[in-house]
Amino acid sequence: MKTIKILGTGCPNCKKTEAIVQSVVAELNLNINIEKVEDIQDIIAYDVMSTPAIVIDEKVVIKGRVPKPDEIRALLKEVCCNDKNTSCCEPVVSDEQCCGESASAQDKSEPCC
Amino acid sequence: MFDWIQHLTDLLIYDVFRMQEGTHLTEALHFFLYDTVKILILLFSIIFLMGIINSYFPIEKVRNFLSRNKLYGFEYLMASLFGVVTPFCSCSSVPLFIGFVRGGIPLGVTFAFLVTSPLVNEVAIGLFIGLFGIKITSIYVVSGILLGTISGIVLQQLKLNSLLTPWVQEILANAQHEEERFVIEKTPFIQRLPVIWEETKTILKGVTPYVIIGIAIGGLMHGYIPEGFFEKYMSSDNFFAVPIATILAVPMYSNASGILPVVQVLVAKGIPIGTAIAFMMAVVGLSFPEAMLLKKVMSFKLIGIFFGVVTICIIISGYLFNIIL
Repeated sequence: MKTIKILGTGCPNCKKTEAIVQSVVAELNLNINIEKVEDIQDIIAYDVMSTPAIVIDEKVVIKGRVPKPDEIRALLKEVCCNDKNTSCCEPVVSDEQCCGESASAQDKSEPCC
Repeated sequence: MFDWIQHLTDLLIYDVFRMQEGTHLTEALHFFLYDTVKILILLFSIIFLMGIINSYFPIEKVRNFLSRNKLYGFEYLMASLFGVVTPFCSCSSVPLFIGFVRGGIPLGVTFAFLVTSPLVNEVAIGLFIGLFGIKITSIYVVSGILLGTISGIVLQQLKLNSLLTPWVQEILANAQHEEERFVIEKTPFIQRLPVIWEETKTILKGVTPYVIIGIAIGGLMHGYIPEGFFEKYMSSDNFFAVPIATILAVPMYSNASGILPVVQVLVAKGIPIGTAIAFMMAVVGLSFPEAMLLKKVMSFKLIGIFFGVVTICIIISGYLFNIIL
């Protein structure tokens, strides 16, 4: 299963970020791990110098700011929909729910999830 | 430049509200409306401008620059200058500190950055221009940069490495100077704009309530406290005024944006500008919660020395301003 991590020591911005991630994951009905990393030594292991930061697949994708829900949506769709080997859309949901209009409008023969 | 706001306020107060000229209430309201509009416009402009600069000077670039280049003593000044264009939220101070240590940047240089960054920030600059004008703002900015530089040099001389927490000392021992050049993302300006815009909105939204409350309190005081009221108590001959003002200011952190408009009125009513600048520097630059966060990387002794050195520098600059200005 894929994991999305929120790095932050617990400041208001980190909490906001966590809430945004949670709501997007719930909205897209994704089967993805959400992990909050609060320990400073774990955070610096990602060589991040400004928090909050977001890590997907052990890769830092956003740092030093609170992301917009749209950004998270786009990032999660990219991870879940472009990589056919992952299973973040389980339990299986419709293409539309998981990948949005773009996927359903594209090639129907290749379902993303 | 702000004449139109003046006219607009006049129009609103005298023609729309039909208020009587010269009463305390009218004066207070006029001051409040004029200052609020002017300061919010300035804040917006400065925050947006700083956002653009910061977009091209991410913190990683700063670290690489300081870590890679031999600067022959200028590294303190450079770190301090970078602090101006690279604002960071106080909850990032620990990862930032570690990032610098890991890059082999000397402790004093890191401190120079940590002092100047909160001290000379976009919100403070915007408020200063609006409240005190360009001249005082320049003095504040230049002295803030020098203060960070000098504090950094002093702290480096004190050889404080042993006062870091053990795990940080370990990182320090394994520190490596950055080899690779930082590759700046070639994102076109247009694509950076939405992010900068969002940041500007977020920051502005965060400080606006404090600013408005501050100006409201200032407006009331402005209308009701007689000119020169404070001169008896806080004149520049009063030797203890500067240290008392500075020490009083250290615990006031989150409301800096609300405190500055009030201080402006105090200055108008007779508090010497040097004392006021010292007070504001301590409000803006030294935050208690930040000190608590730094506990993870430093011993209490080191945090105490850090704050002590900065406080002393602020007090000295307060005296200097009272003599010069």
